[in-house]
Order: sequence, then C-alpha cells, then structure tokens
Amino acid sequence: MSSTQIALDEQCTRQGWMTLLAKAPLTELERHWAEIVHPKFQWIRRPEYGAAMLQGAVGRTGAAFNLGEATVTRCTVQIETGEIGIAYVLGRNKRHAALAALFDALVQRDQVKGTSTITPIIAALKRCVREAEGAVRCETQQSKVDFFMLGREVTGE
Amino acid sequence: MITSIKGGEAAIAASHRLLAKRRRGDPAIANLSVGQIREQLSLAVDRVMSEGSLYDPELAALAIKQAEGDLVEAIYLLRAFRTTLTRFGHAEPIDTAAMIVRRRIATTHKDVPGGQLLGPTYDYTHRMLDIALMGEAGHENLSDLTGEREAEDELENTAADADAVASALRRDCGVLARTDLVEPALSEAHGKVADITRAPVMFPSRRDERLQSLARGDEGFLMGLCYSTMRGYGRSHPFIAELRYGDATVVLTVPELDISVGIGAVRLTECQTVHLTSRDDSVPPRYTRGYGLVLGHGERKAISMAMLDRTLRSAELGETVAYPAQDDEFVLSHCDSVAASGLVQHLKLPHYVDFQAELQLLSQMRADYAKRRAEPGFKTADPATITETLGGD
Repeated sequence: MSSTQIALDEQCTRQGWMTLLAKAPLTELERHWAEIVHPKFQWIRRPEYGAAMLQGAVGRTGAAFNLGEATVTRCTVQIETGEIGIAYVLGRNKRHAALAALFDALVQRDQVKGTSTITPIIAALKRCVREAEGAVRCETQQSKVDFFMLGREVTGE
Repeated sequence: MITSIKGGEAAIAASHRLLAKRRRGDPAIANLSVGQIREQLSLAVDRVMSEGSLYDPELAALAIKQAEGDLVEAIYLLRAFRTTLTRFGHAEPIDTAAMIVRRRIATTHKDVPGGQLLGPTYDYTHRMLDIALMGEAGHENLSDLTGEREAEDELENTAADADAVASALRRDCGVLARTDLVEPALSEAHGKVADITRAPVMFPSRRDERLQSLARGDEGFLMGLCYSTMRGYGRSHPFIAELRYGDATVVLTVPELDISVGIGAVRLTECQTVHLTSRDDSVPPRYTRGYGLVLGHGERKAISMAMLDRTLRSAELGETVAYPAQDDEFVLSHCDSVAASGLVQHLKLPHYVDFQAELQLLSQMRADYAKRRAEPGFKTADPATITETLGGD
C-alpha cells in the first residue's frame, strides 16, 4: 500500500492511527498523555532502536533499489485490560515509540469498549499533522515562479 | 606484506587530547551544540546522511561536531555506526509522487501542472557574502520587519491553491507526461532487490546495485564524472525533466501485524533526467531515463546520480562504452568516499618493513643495472615485473 493511501485513510483504521502516532510531533503526544488517565501496562518489548532499509523506484514505477537506511525505534506494550500496543517510529526517540505504543493500545481499548476517550486525541493529531503539512505547502507555494520568455517579434516583410 | 606495529599508547592518548582541545577551539567562544548543527548546518547534515547511508539528522550532526566539520570523516563515523544497527525490515519503495514538496522544477516546459516551485535554493542568490549573518541573530537587520505582514496575508490566499497544487504534483509533468516519447519506467521482475551492504557488487552490475552505490557515493566524485560526460567524455547533455525536494512518508510493514504503516517522513531529493537515445534499432528514437534519489537536500548529487545512472546503461542501450562514466566497474569501485579515504589515508601508517624490503630490491636492481651497463649480454629479470609484484601491502 502506498503512503498516500494510508494518508487518505480515516483515522479509524489501525494503519491510519499508527501512522498518525508516528508522524505527530513528540510534544503533541506528551501534551495529550499528560491529560489522560495513565493505564497500568507492562513492556512486551522495551523501546529499542535499529534500522530499516529505505527503497526507491526508478521513475517512481520502475525497478526498486535500496536507497540507504534510516534509524527506527520500536516498542510493544500490553495495557492492564489486555490490549497490545505496537509502535515503529523513525528516529531514535524511545519516549516517542513508548507513547505511540501506549496510545495504540488505548485506541484498541476504546474500540473494544465502545468508548471514545482516545479517538478525539487521534483526530487532534491528524489536524496537527495536516496543518504542519499544509503550512509547508503554503510557504512553498509563495515561491512559485512564472518565468517568461522574451521573443523578438517577427515583422513580415 | 602485513606487519604489526605495537606501542605508542601514550602518544595516541595525547593525540586524542589534542584533538579534543582543537575541537573545542577557543573556550571563550560558546560551545556548538548538536542541535545547532542539525538546524543551522542542515545541508552538511544532509550530505553526511546521504553518503553515510543512514537517515538520522541528529547522529549526522553529532558526527559533524565530532569530526570538526570534516564531512568525509563524519560520513565514516556514521557509516561505522550504521553497521551496529539491527535491521528491522525493508520499507516499501518511497512514493515520491506523494511528497510534501518544498521545491520542484521542471526544465522542459515553462508551464507544468503544479507549477515551478523554487523553494529554498541558492540558484538565484548573488553569491555575495552576507555580512548581516555575522550580526547577533540579525540585530542589525530590520528589513524583514515590514515584509513579514505581507507574507502572512499571502499565506491565507495560497492555502486553497496549495491543495490543488499538491494533487497536481502527484502526476508526471512536462516531458515525462509524454509516454509516447519517453521509455516506460517498468518494474522488472528479477526477484529480490540487490543489497550492496550484504553482498558485493558483481560486474557487469545490475541497475539496482548501481543506484544503491551511487546513492551513497561521494558527491564530488559523482559530480566530476557527470561533468566529464557533459564536456565530451561521453557526449551526454540531458534535460532535467523534474527535480524535487521535500518530505516523503516511509511505509514499513509491521512484522507483528503484517500491515503497512507510515513510520514518519524523510526529506529526499529526486532528479529525473531524459536523454535522447537512438542507437537501439528495435524501438523508435526516444528519450531514455536517468534517475537520481538521495537522502536529504542534495541537488548536485541527485543530478549527477541521474546522469550516471543513464551513462552506465550505455551497453544496455547499444552505445559504445568508451569513457570512464560509462564503465560501471570504474565508477562503482571508486565512488565510495569511505573506501577511497581508507586506502588513500593508509599511506600514513608505518611502512617501515615494506620500505626496507623495497630498499633491498632497489639495491639488487641497481647492481643488475650496473652489470647490464658493463656487459651488454647480461640477462636479468625485467625490473618492471619485479616492481609490479611489490605493489600493495
């Protein structure tokens, strides 16, 4: 599945919310974490970092090739109600991976119980990521250029 | 010949202390933080990530600080760190069409869907030293105080535009949209993607091996070769069909769940070139593609990579292979700055025994030379073959 398809997904699929939790800035996760009731949990896999090999494709649709690696931190937790939260996040920020895994478990708990304590947080993260992307697009748009060509007029004789 | 040298611990420790002292510089000047390097020397960081073959701006900034700004040394540090990492998996090919574009130009057509977006570029600067940058955070510069407001107003106006542009930027533009003139970019079914970090490149090389080597290759070397092809050592003068830089989502299949999720975004530079090609008689004359993709913002390198991707396809496309930039073994074996600096710098290591061996040989050769001069019929081994066998240690 391509990244765009994931980006267009509603935040109610696991792919969608896991993507948002990875993309959202850590400060946002911390802010929301500070406002909720913290669940008891145990580490299934404490946050650890490693790498993922990135790939490109010739002309976007052609042969794939390895581009180079990127650091990735992963984490797995199980909250007291049994849900298992998983996170894979670019970079080496263990707090980001841990909070993303916890939120992943909490969203699942929401879905099981039919509650909506975490769903609004995911929606807020989505707005935050969208706004950041929108801001980049807008400032880039300001540098849109229209080069014009000066041609010598041909006078028919 | 390999000989081991022992001792020198105290001197080496003293050398490390001197390094640390010079790295710190004048203690009266504030210490440079890794965060400052990451944020304010971002193009150096990008180059280190690209050639270090590891995307991690923080670690690249640390490497730059540790190497006192010697980027080749910093690349080495990052490359060495890379080997210590457990690999969690392979991300899916990055969808650069869906990139949050920060800069994008197409040189074949003036008007392309999505437009020409200059973004941050030095291309249209005057290349004059900006003395204002020496001031304390622009204390002396007031010029932007009035300009700021206008810029904000403009932001609101462009918000709607930007969404339309984003969808236009997903499609191929300019000459790349002319599928009748440009070779298709088809995925060849050859199974597993080659990984030069696990298996060395075999010659003749495959395109995926070449692209991975070029993606981590030395910018200067790649650009020099690219330049050589344009100046006549390869007769290549393509068009840049599209050059873009921006943030692209990395999608990884989570092994525990077997679903693909976005795990964050990386900044990339992508260059697509088209080259007029007519030597293959089985298809009509057309444009063939060169493709460059590098970590971070590195346009010189992305262009050079695309050019070399294409010149290294010379044999495949029925062209005569006559120049260095067309020779995959030459290009790929010499484009890595870590490998190159290793061999070049090893010359600084003690070679006492090698030199004694060569001195003995030299005295033998000089004695033979004297004999040959004295009696013309005297036969000795050819000095050239002896010196050849001595090469390398």
